[in-house]
Amino acid sequence: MTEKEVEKAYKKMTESDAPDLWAKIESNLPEKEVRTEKKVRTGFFAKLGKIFSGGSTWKTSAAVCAVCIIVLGTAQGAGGMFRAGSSYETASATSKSSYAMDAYSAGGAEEYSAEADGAEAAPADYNGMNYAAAAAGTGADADSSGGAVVLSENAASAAVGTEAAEASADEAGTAENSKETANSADTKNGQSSRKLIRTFNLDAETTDFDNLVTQLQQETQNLGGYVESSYVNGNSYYTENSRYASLTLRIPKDKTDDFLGTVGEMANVTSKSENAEDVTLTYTDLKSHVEALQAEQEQLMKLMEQAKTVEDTMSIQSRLTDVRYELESYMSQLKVYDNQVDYDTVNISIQEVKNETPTGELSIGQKMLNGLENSLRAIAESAKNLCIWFVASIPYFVILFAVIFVVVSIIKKIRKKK
Amino acid sequence: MNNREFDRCMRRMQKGDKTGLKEIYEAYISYIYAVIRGVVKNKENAEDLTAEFFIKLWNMADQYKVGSGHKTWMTVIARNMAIDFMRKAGREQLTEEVPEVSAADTAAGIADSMENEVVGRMNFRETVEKLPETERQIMTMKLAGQMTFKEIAEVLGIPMGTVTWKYQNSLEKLRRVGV
Repeated sequence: MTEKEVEKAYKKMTESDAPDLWAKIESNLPEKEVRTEKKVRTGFFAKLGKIFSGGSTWKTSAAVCAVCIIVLGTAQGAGGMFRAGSSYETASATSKSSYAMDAYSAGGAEEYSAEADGAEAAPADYNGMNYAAAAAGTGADADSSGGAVVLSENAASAAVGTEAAEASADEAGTAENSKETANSADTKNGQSSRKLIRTFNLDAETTDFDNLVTQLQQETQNLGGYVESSYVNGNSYYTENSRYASLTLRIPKDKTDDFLGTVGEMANVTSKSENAEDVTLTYTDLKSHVEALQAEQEQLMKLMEQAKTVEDTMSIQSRLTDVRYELESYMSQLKVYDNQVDYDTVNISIQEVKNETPTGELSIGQKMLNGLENSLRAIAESAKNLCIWFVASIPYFVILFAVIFVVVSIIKKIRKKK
Repeated sequence: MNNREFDRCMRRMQKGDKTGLKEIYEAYISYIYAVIRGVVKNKENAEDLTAEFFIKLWNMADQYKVGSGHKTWMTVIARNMAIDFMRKAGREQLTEEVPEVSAADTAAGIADSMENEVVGRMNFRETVEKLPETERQIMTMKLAGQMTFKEIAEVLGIPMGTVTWKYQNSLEKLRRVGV
């Protein structure tokens, strides 16, 4: 016999041997209350309900924990997508190529650059107490009112000396001298002789943050300038590519245009502004004071030589001290102005980004593609952040699961008691 | 009857519907009887125990939880009822088994030929009844109950390898019937 035949024969044998016991069984069945059938739900939600209510404590705890994680994860992911999307909002776009063609070109700079000759000649007027320009006497003007009684006998000569001092200053050949300097238009670069303090503010973004910061500092030094201040903010733990730098650079005024062009090539400049403060009149006024004081100083020194009495000497010395003090003060102010005029201030803020802001006019198709690309990037970014958040939060999930497990166990025990 | 049909019958029984039990009875009466008869040789006792089994099933319906493996579950209950009966009856040995063949005889090949000669003269029923209790249980569960070797091993509490070996051994004996 084959196995199949054996099976068939065996079954036949057992079936034929089976007694008819139904009557006996039925007669001995105890009566039961007829209950309405509870609708047994099947399907996903029914199984889910079974897990929460009827499953083991482990299963129930794991299910509750999973729901909490999903809710938290969804909130995290949605927030991440929102943040990632907002980071791609474009700032005011500025074309890189058009950057070099704006007011920083030679034509625009012509209006604002300070006069080169004036800057060069200015130190010769007062640096190191150069008295050559002030030939004789001091001006008997309001600046020398302190020793009027002692100097009265020399007033006439002092007045003459003042005029001579002014004439001498002109004869010294300085290109700038108070009002004449301010109005002079003949400079070797064809630029105005005005004293202008220029300040430039740039916002830039880059994908190569470290390189750009280094290059800017290097370029500043190459042009003969210097870094006045530097601030760099590094990464935080929870975000990437959010480094920020703020640099204040002092660039020689004749090199500023080149420098700004270089910045436009190295980074994506998203905004710029410029400011020029005309300090010509103030500068000229200061210079006038300096020259007058220098003349007075010269005159006082001559008077000192002629003084016969101790009282005269003391008086002249006192006045001379005051004049020198004032002279130093004015010359210091002139130095500050010269520094501000000779070196333009360029404030650059640099933001590190993953993708640079698109510049220039875009077609509708390009805008749609850009929008789609940004959305996909935002989704990818938030998915990545979600994974990082999940792994980083595993210790919390373990604690959460333990708490839920205890709670579920307690609830089940209470139900059993009931 | 598959698991789903069995669960439906049990739910009807929970409601107090006897037709559910009737369906289970008609599907499994021969199998349960054969399982119990394999332990309890006496026919009357086997019938009584079989009736008790279905009454017990009716009473246990409220405790039944929907799941899988209803055949294994019923087989265990039926077999345990039979074993308990035999213990209460005061018999330590449940059945008389066919004497095991010694290794020496097997080596000589004499025992095998004698067994073969004995089997050859008996009919199918007699051969089945002469099977050792464990082998008969295995054949009943496998051929009549359509259970897997794993389920049979679980019920009998013996290794699955032993189950398969005994099954093949018994099958060989039964196959030689009528040759």
